[in-house]
Amino acid sequence: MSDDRLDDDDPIRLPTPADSPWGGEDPPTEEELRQAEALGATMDRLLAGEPVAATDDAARAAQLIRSSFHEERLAEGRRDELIQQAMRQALARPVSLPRPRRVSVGSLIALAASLLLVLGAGLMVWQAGPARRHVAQEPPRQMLSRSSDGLMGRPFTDRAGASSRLDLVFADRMNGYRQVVLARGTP
Amino acid sequence: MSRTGGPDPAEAPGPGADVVDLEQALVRRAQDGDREAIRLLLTRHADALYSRIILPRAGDPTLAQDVLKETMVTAIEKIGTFRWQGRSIYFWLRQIAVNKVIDHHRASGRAGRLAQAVAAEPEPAILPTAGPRPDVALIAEEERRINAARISATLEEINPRYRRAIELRLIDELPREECAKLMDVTLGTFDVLFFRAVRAFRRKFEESEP
Repeated sequence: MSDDRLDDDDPIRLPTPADSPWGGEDPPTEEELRQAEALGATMDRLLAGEPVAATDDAARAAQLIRSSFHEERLAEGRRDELIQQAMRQALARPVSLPRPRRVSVGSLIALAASLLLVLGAGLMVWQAGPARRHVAQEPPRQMLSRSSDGLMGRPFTDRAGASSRLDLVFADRMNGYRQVVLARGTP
Repeated sequence: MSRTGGPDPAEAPGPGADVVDLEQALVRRAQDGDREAIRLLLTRHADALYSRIILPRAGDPTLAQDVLKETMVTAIEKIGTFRWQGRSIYFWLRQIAVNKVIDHHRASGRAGRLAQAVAAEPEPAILPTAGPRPDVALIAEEERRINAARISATLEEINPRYRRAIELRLIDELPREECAKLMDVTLGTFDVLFFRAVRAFRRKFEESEP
């Protein structure tokens, strides 16, 4: 507390008369005087542009009033410094700056597999479709009349008996049947 | 000028759709990991966040600068979650900043009514004369106007003598000695008057919490 404030003539120290500076309020206590002086000093530093830590509600309220009426901009250098610090800090953390969006190899493989599945399913549906079934219902008449004379060969050879000739004819017929099925769809 | 040699988009003047469109482009680039775009966005909004949002709520320039930095760190980390909704990213950054101030008050045990009262102020409504997409400077000015109006309304409710002490000291920013002289009291008396004035203001302001 400065000397002038300790002067005995200071009305703060005197009993409260009817025309006191307190307008009918109680004179200040020692604690209030201490707080008032501290706030005055804080405000002096704040108004002088010093970085002051407001440690109590009174100082914060005073700062609230002042900053609501006055533009208190950061110095440009300080602002840029804070931005650089923030970017460095964000980069240092595990979850840092967003990464450019990239398509992963796994996603491409999954996409290709899905496409193949869809194509395969589509092919099956197409093969089992009503149009194909209609074609398959037509009997392979031409193939039924094919001659088997050329298959018979000479009879009674040493290495080919009657049963082997029958097998050959049966195999030939099966082959013809298979060709018809494959060419025209299901029987 | 920007580091890339062209005009700095963060310093592009004037209100209007072009500015907002430019900001939207910057946001897209930032979300794609473009650090220069992030720097430009932060540069564009740092001043308004500090002077209009954080400092009045933190009440302490040193703390306010810490909060601003933390706000920017969070913004960089979460930029990928931001969804453009046709208005400036300022409002998103503003909400991060308000939350950071509240976190600081809680961490320091200052979850008092003053902290709640200053932190809970709603975001400014868009000025009807400003069009659908006002410039960031205009939004910040509206924020300042709302804050000042609320302070003025509270000052109107306190003892006229206290109001005079606050106006001389904090709005006119006069030295203590001159304030005391203008109020025709000693310096010590003015200090006590000012202290009581701020205390009375704080009580009224807490009562007027929106």
